[in-house]
Amino acid sequence: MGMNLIVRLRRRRAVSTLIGGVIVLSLLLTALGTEVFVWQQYDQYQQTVNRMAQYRNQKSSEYLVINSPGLTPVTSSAVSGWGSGCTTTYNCYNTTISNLGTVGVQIVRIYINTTRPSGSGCSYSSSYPNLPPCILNPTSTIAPYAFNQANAFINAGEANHALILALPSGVILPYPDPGFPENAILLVTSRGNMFTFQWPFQPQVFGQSQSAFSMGIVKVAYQQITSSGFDSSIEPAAGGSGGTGYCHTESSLPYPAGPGYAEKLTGLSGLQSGSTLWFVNPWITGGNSRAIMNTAVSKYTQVYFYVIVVNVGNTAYTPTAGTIDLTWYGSNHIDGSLLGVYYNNNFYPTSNMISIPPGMSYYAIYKISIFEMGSPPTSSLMLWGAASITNGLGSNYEDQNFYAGTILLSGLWIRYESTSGSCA
Amino acid sequence: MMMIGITLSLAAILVAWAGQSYGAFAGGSQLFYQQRGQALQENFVIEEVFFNTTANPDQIFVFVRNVGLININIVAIYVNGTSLTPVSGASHGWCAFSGNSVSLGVGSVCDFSLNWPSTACLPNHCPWATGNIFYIVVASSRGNQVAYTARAP
Repeated sequence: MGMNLIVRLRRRRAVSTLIGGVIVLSLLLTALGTEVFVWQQYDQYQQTVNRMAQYRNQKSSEYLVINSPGLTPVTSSAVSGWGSGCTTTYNCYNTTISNLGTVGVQIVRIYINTTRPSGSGCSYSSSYPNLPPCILNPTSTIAPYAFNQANAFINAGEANHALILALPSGVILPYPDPGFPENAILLVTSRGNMFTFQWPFQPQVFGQSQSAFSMGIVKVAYQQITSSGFDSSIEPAAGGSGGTGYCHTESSLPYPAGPGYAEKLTGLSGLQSGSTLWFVNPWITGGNSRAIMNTAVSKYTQVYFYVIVVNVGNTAYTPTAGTIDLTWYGSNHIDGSLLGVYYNNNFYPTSNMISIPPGMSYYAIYKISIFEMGSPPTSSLMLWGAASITNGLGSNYEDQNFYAGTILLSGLWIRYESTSGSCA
Repeated sequence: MMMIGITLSLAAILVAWAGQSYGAFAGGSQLFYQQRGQALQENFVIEEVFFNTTANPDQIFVFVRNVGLININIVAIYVNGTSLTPVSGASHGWCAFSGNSVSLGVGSVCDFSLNWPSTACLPNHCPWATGNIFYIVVASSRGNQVAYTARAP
C-alpha cells in the first residue's frame, strides 16, 4: 500500500516535470522564434540603411561642370534622333557639360531664370505658353521648352557632353529686353542635385573674371544704302518677303529663318536711314557677288552689331565709348564704333548715355564703317573678333576670342560662310 | 490529478501570455522597422522656388521632386511657419492637395502654387517686399521634412 502510493506520486511528479519541461521549452522556442523574426526585420532595415547610404554616396558623388562658352546656337535645322526645326521653329542651344563626378548623371529638368522677376528669361507667348519660371523637360522629339532626352545621361568622367535645348524662335537667351540681367540656368539631376551656371559667362582675362563687365549675345542688322544692298528689315525673319541675298533667305538652303525670328529695336538714332533696326543672328556671308563682305555689295549695305553687356560689378557706370573689330587674317576689317546703348526699351546715343546699375544688362550697338569691308575672304581664313567699351570708371574692357573659320565673340559664334556653300 | 490540472491551467495561461507578448513584440518591431525603413527610403527635394509677382495675390511656386525609392505623400507646406494649401494653377501641371495630401511617384515632380495672402503677413516679414526671406518646409506623411530658404526678388 505504502509503496504503491510512493510510486504513484513519483509518476505524477514525472508527468508534472515533463509538462513543465515542455512548457519551458515551448516558451524558449517561441522566444527564439520571435528573436529570429525581429532579427530578420532588423536585417532588412539594415539593408535599407546600407542601400540609402550607398544612394547618398552616389548623390554626393555627382559633379557637373558647364563648359565655356556655356551656350552656343545650333546652326543646323535637324538634330539627329530628336527632330528638325532648329533655326526655323525653335531657337536651339547646345550646352556642353563635363561630368567630373564618379557616377553617371541623368538630367531630368532645366530651369532658366527661376528667381528673376516674371518675364525675364523665357517669355510667355500665346503660341507657346510657358509661365515663368522657364521649365525645360526632356522629350524624345523636339518641342518648345524641351531638351533632348537621348542626351540627358552623362557618363562618369565624360567631358564635353552635348545637350541640346529648344526654345520657341521668339525666345532667346539671355532675354532680349536689355533691362533684365543675365540668365541663371539650373540643371536638376535624378538624384535631386542642382547645378547652376550663369549665362552669359563672365569673360576671363588672364584667368581673372572681369568684375564690372560681361558680354553676351551678338546680333547683326543690315540696312540698304541703295537697293543693291542687303536689308534685314525685309527678310522673312522680319516679316518681309526676303530676296536680298541674306543667307537664310536663299531658296536653296533648307532652313530659312522663320517669321518673327528677327528682333526689332526702335527709337534709334544715327542710322543710315530711319530709326528701326531688325537684328538677326550673326551670319556673315562672303565668297561671291551676293556676299555681304564683297566690296561691290558692302558699299551698298550698312551693317550694325549689338553685343549684350551685363554690369556684373557692384557699382553703376555710364558707358561712354567703344569699338568693335571683326577682322580676318591679313588685311581688311569689319570694324566700327559705338553708336549708343539700348537699355530698358530706350536708346541712348553716345552723346546722352545712361548709368547702368549693377546686375543690369544693355545692348551696345556698333555701326560698322562700310568702306573697311573689303574683298571677300576665303573659307581658309581665320577671323577674330573683339569688342570694347569704356565704362566711364576709367576702365576699358575687351573681349576677344579666336577660332579658325569663325569668330567667337562673347560666347556665341559669328560664322563666316560662303554663299556658294551651306549655312551650316 | 488536481495538481496536474492546476499546472496545465497555469501553463496554458503562461503560454498564452507569453505568446501574446512575443507576438506584440514581434509585430511592434516589424511595424517599427517597416516604417523606419520606408521613412528612410523617402527622399525628396525642393528643387526650385519661384516668386510669381504677376498673380493676385502673390504666389510662391515650390517645385518638389521625389528622388527616393518609394512613393511619398506630401501632407503640409509651411512658409515662414504658416501652413499654406496649394491651389490649382493655369500651367506647368500644378499639383493641388487631394483631400489632405498629394501623392508623388518616384522620380516625379510637383509644382505647388501657394497663395500668399495678406493675412499671412507676419511682423517684420510682410510680403512682398524685395529682400524678404522665406523659410519653406515641405512635410511628408512619414514625418520627413525638407527645407528651403529663399529671398524674395
